Amino acid sequence: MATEAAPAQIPTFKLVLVGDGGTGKTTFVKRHLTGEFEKKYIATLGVEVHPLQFTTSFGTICFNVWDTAGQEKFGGLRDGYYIQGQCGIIMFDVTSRITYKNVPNWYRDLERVCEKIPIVLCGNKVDVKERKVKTGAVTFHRKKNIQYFEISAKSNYNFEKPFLWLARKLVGNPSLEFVAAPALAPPEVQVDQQLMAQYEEQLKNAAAQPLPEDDDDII
Amino acid sequence: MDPQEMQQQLLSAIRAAQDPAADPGLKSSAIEFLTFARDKASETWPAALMLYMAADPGTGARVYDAQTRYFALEVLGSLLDIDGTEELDPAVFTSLQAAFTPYIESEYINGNAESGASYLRNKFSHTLALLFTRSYPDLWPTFITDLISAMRTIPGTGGRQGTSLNLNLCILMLRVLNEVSDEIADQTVRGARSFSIGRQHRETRLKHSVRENDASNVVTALVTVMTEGLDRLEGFAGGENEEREKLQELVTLAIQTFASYVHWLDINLTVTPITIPLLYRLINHRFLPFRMAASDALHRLVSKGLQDPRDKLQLIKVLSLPQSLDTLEQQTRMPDRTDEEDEELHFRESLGKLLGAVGSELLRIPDDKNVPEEATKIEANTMMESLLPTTLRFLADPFDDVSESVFSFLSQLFVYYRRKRKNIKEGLLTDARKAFFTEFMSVIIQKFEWDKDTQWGISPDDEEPDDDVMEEFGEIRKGLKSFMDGIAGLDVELYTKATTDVVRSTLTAFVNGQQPSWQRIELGLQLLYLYGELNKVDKMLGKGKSGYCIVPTSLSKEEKKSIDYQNLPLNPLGEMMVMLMDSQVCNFAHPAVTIQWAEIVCRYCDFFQVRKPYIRNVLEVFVGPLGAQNPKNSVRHRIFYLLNKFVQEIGSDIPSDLISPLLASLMQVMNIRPEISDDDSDLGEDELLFNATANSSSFNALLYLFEAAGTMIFRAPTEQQLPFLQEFTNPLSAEMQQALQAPRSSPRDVMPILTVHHVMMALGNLANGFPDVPVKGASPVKGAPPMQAVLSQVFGQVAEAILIALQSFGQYRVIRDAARFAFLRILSATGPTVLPFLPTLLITILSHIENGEISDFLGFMGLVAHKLKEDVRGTVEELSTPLLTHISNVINQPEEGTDDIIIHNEIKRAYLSYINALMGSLLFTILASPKNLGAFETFLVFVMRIAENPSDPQSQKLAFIILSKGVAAWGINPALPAPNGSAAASNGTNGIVHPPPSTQPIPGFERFIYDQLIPLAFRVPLNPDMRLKDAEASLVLTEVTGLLNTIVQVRGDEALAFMTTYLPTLGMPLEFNQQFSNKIRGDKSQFRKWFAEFMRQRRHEEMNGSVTSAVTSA
Repeated sequence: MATEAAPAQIPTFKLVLVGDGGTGKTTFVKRHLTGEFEKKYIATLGVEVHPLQFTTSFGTICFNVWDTAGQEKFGGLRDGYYIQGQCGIIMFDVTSRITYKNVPNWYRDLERVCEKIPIVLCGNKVDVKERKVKTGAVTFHRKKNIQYFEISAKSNYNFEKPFLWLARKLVGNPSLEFVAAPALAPPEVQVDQQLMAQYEEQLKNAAAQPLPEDDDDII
Repeated sequence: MDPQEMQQQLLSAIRAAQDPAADPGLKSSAIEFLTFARDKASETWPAALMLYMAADPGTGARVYDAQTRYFALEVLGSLLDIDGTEELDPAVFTSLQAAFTPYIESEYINGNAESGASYLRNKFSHTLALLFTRSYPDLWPTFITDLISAMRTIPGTGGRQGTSLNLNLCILMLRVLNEVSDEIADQTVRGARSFSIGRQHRETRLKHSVRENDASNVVTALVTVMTEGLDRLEGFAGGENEEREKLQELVTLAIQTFASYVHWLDINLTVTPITIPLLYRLINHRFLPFRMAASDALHRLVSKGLQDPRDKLQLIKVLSLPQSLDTLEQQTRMPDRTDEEDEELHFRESLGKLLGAVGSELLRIPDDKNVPEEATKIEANTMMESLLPTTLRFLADPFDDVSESVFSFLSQLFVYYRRKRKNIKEGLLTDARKAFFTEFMSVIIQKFEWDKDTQWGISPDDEEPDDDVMEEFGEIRKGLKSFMDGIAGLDVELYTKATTDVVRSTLTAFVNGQQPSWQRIELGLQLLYLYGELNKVDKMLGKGKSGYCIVPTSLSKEEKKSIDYQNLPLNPLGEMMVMLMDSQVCNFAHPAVTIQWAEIVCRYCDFFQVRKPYIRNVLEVFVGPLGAQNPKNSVRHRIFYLLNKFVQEIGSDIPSDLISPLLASLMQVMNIRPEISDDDSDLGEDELLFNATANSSSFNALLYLFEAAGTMIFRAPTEQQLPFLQEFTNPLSAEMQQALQAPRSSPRDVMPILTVHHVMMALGNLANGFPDVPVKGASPVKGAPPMQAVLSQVFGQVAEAILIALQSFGQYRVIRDAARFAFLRILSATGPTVLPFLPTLLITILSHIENGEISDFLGFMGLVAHKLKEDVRGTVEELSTPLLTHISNVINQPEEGTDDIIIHNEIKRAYLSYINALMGSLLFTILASPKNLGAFETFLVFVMRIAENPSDPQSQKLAFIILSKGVAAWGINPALPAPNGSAAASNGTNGIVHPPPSTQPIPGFERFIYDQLIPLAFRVPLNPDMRLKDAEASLVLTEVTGLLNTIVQVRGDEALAFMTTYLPTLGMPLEFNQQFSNKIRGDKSQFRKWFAEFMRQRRHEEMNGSVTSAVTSA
């Protein structure tokens, strides 16, 4: 299996990549130059494993990314693929509300199989101007104390962030850095820096807001 | 398929699906089969159950591997997890129960709980919870008690009860209870499902039954596990131990489960004389996960919805949270800690959140309408205020995550005090509160300072902190700033004193050579910079010059105008500004200080009207070695922007003798050097050009200097202006000339193109520094003399040079954009000077234009027409028909994806805005001039088509406005006096149409009105795709009635007569037809409402009508 693809001496971690179909999981892994960029949407069957290497200030590490099928009918073993996962990324698409609504389901399945692993939530496609899930509406990560990044797989925006965060958690050293930028495929679109700055601003504002309250049963 | 065969099929499908390297064809059919197995779980479950349970009769070992068994559970899950209300088929239930019960006994009570494959245990727990949701309370009423009663079964004794807990079984029990709570009561889990009324009913019933029958059992079991687990842990001395780890897992899980039940079980069960000390035992435990979980459990308890606010107060009292949190805060304070990731910090953060939650709950009580007694309100308020000192200590924590944990509570606190202040006449600020706010302010200031360890400096090796660090600190400062504003809103003197104290002491220390740190100086400057925001809220400081002085209140308005502000005493802000300037802190070499200093002088530029002599110093710093020549790129870029802003504001006050040296200094840094980033080496020509232009921050920053230079030239003594201007334009034009002739080594050699682009932009910005030539008919800009003719001539030559360059490089989008930009700026500054070049410019651009730039081009055309009016009539007329043809071709292209839709809509709006602008000027007659009359009908139909398309209401609205104006211009009834009106409003008419400034009657236009426009006005509101509830659509409706109004106004009785025969053909109610004439001649807004109401009714009927007819036909 894919674990053999990386030389044995490189620390290797199984990363489970989950999320609804069409949110850009495969595109995201393939931005790393070990794979080419896919323009067309081809639904993933079951799972595909991609070894992604990063050079860090503590040496090379490898994520074996288990890119799982988001579409139900191609799910195959579904959460069966998560077994022995050491870290996870849950992806949703900021231009599609339903993909965000489903995040808790992915999280719950992942957490059940792999207890207490570091997990990153990624809102993809922030390059699209007509987004439906506004930055301030993303609160799930705060309820569960997981990390959240806004990314754009198409334009490489924040591509490294999820991996860097996971690497720091897995290695147990917050000062770990990626020393050489991974070779990325050229960006397909340009992100609007002003728009990104505006999202970041919203993210900050959102963090200061109280979480929406669960409408608990009043007894 | 019999179960045996199914089992085999499943096995091979799982094997194939598991292998990422499997043959794609095989894999795809395997996956198809697995989907089938799940979808048809009602048939496949017996095979799945067998796969999961099968064990070797001799050893008891499971036959199949974990992966296979895991998937078997997935199939069982599909069987059990349904949306409906139905209970499970009793036969299926019996089989499952008959298999699960012995499995639990052998594996969890007596066995080793799947030997560490915890995912199997966890998945099984979920399966069991799903079974619960389909069998409790009727088929399996003792589900919960069965699990709980096995808690103390001794392994291997055949069910004998012992005194201590069976750990494996207990962990299973807790996981099942957790999953049960998640399934039926967790808001997040339930919110992520699509809503189903059947499921909701089932959940309600399940919750009800648990509350009735098992709630106290559950709580007792959880409390037992926690208590006994803790007691047993006391017995361990230390070191690694499997049992100890298991106990830790168990207790943590028990606390978490307790927390998950708290919000839906009776609080009298969860808050008892036993649970309270237990929770405190846990939150003080040395094992961190216990503390974290206990803190979360308390958080949930405190936030639990209770009907009576008095109960909430009681709960907080009973839990004695204010006192305990104070103690816990002290215990967790770690002044020397440096590792930000430390888990202990997370615990402290969770305490802060808990404190915040208590505070927020208490804040709600005094405002709650259900609290009649004053005593309760006072008690809640007192208790809330007793939390405040602890809250400030959390806020003051050096670690920002901890500080932020109380932000939300503190924000609410200000809302509360502001509201309270309105109700309290005798003054909100008691001595105690004043003391609190003083302390609060000092904590804010202390937190506002950059960390002393931040590596950041002026030397070349000093990088600025990364974006993440900047962002995070910016976030903290933003929150703190809002608290500062809150304090200022309650006690402005307190705020002013705190700010001036810091500013004064910092600047004094600097002057006295005490060498304060950059952090300290930056802090002082930040506070000074923010002080002016007092004006944002309630104009406390006064506008303009009066913002810096103490203006005697006795002065009349007239006296205030003539008073000499330079002689008035300064207010605190004015004093701080004097301190800033006198201290010469501008010489402190640090990027953060330099930028902040420049931000301040720009924000407070009116101060320099009160103290003009300082201007010289400011400008010298701006162009000096720490300013525009700063070694740091990021500083320089910001300085360029601020310098220009300052120059624009100060304008005529720039000392004229200074202009020559200022320009000389600036020229040293104004070299145009196109840059291509190394990262871009693999990009294509278009991306390369885009990145090196619009995306190049260094070049875009440089452009500000050209604008500033333009302004300085304009402010220079008359005789110096021409030589100064030529010092810029001559070398730039030469550079462009050279680049045009430079041979390109390859298509990827974009340097010459970039040079031409950059020069064009620079020249455009230079022109932008000059004031606009007044638009024809408008009065000249106050105080600005017109540009000298010799300068206009220079710009004329520049425009010509740009045009020549465009003709060579017109195939590049960046060049077309730059040429358009530069022309517009030159045109603004010089007026008709550029007129001779305009037709060639437009034609060259149009011959290469891409869809993405059409809207910009139209915006450009609109501005040109607005600025030059009759002078460009010929050009606008010439272009009209080709433009329409081009745009309608583009819009008729198929839309593939959202990008195309967005571009098409943009083009439509831009075109309509352009036409609308023409309709507001005398130029509108070109649309129907002899040259364009042939395309006139095409034009009208084009606009009508947009008016009819509900997918883009903004364009629809504009189209209707244009049609109304068209009616007023071309549809004039010669028998009636022409309607008179003022100039057209460009953005919406609110239904009141201002006709164009003249008319151009076109014979026969009334046929178009009757045959086309009136039917259109009824068709659009009745189109079912138009969403009348949308605000934008209702604006469209307003313009529809505006069109009808205009028609009646312009055509008079003839139109009303037409309506009399036309309306009955629409099938509207008689009442509508009868009242129409009166209504449309009456008040316009009433007509609008009346019309909209009938349209709504009609749509409603049609919708119901279609439903009815569908039903009848079925």
